[in-house]
Amino acid sequence: MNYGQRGRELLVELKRSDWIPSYNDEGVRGTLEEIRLHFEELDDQATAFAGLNYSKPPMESRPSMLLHSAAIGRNKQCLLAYHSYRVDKLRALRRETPASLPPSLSTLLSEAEVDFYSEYDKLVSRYSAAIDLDLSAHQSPPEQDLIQVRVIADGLGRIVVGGGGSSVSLDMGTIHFLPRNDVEHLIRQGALEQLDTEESF
Amino acid sequence: MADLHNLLGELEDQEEESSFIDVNATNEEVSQPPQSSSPAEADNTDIENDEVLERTSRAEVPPALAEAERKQHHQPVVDGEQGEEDDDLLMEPTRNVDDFASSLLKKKQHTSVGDGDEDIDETMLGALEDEDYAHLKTLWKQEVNCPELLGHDTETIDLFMELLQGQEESIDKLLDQSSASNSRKRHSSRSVDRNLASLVASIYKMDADRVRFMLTDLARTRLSKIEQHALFMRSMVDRMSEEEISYLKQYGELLERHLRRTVLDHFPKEAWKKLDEPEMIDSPDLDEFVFCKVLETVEIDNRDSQAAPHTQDDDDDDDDLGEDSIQEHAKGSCLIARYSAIQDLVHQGKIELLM
Repeated sequence: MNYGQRGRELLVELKRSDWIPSYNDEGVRGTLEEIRLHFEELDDQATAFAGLNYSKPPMESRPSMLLHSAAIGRNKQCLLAYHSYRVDKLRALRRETPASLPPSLSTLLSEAEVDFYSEYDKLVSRYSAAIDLDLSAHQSPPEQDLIQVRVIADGLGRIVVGGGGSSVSLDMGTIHFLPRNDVEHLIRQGALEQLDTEESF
Repeated sequence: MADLHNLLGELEDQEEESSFIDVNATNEEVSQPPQSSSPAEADNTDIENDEVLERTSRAEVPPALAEAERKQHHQPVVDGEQGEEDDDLLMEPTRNVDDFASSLLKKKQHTSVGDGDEDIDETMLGALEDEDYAHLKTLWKQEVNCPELLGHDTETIDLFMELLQGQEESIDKLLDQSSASNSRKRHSSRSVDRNLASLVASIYKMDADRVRFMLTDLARTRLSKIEQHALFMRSMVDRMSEEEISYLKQYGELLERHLRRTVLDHFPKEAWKKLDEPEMIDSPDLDEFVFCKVLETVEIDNRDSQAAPHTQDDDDDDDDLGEDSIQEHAKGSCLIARYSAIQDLVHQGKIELLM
């Protein structure tokens, strides 16, 4: 049996991917299986000397018992790390763009993670409402009130802007001069591009 | 905030001039102030101010301006009464503009670039908000740079939430004013009114935006600290507001449920299903280095069991251990320090963290 190799593979996979890799169900189950095997070994050894009336395990079997329990601990650590890393990424995603999961991403997640995401979404929205501040707006210090943006994604339709309540049609390639508050989330989603920063030309 | 007051002062000057010049030219002049509000041109406007004072004995203060200034001067709570005063102001401005201009002069002599916060408190344009604003800013800076969660300052936050609402209302009112037509006024001052009101409205909006950004970022930083060290935060509940406590509980349950479902429930034995053994709880890294500024003369005990203390000579080890580790720092000095060494002092308020 691999002592902790499966767990290590899971983690290395995380490191190799951009955001998160597709949920490695097999890897997780493999690791859990290993844990079970280790545990069985432990169990065997424990029952082996239980009949011999020792209060403590005999010297010979101690190293292997230690090894097995250490391996179980290691696997547990890997599994927990794997899951909490993915969970962290999900949380960060929700922070950036408070939308529901795009379908391209939901294929990468396990069922439990999808549930987690929706629950977390609800939790954060409730908190936002409770303290009366929109947590996903204003991600950077405001420099200007109105900013110039160009539309780079298609099919956005019309949005309602500003105090006047007039609506603006977001056709592809058009440039608009809009209040920052209203368009900030679109910029973060990548639908609009801010024009009057130093990087633009 | 300093620019805001300069700007209003600029408008004031331009307005006084225009009341003597051809009425039709008013619009062009009103559009000038935004460009000329840099401190470098303070000299020019001082001269203008003098000329203006000589020329006028009594001029009409643009009502929107006076109203905006009055709004800043009073508490936001009084906002309800301001609404009725609007009509009075429009009919009969009774303020003496000389006092106004002379206080502006006084303020301009004090104001240096970007540093006018303390002085502004004394003049009429300075509002009560400035001290609190500086306090909020410090609070935000500290929270962002501190590895651990700092105490929750309920009063400041509540104060600013109220302030924000008050500002929202005045912004709306100003926007209405900018689009409303008023038949009692002459044509020129009506359009001037509108431009002025919308300009002042956008200034207010920027200010409100800034405050809102700080509040939002503060809440966000605290939340992310709570989430990251969720189990550890259970012991620091006294530093959190009520909503944060309930958030912590719910988040903790959510996380635990998720981990149980995916991992822990498949474990064969009960004992391994635990999540909160002492080694498993990750506490925030208190050994992070932070920039800080000393507010009062302090002694910092640099003794650390793990790292070797900083000694000037490499030879002396044990002898200097006791002497070199306690360092005294005078007020006003800036340091880089390990957070754990200055943690208590930060809580006492003797050291403040810098960006």
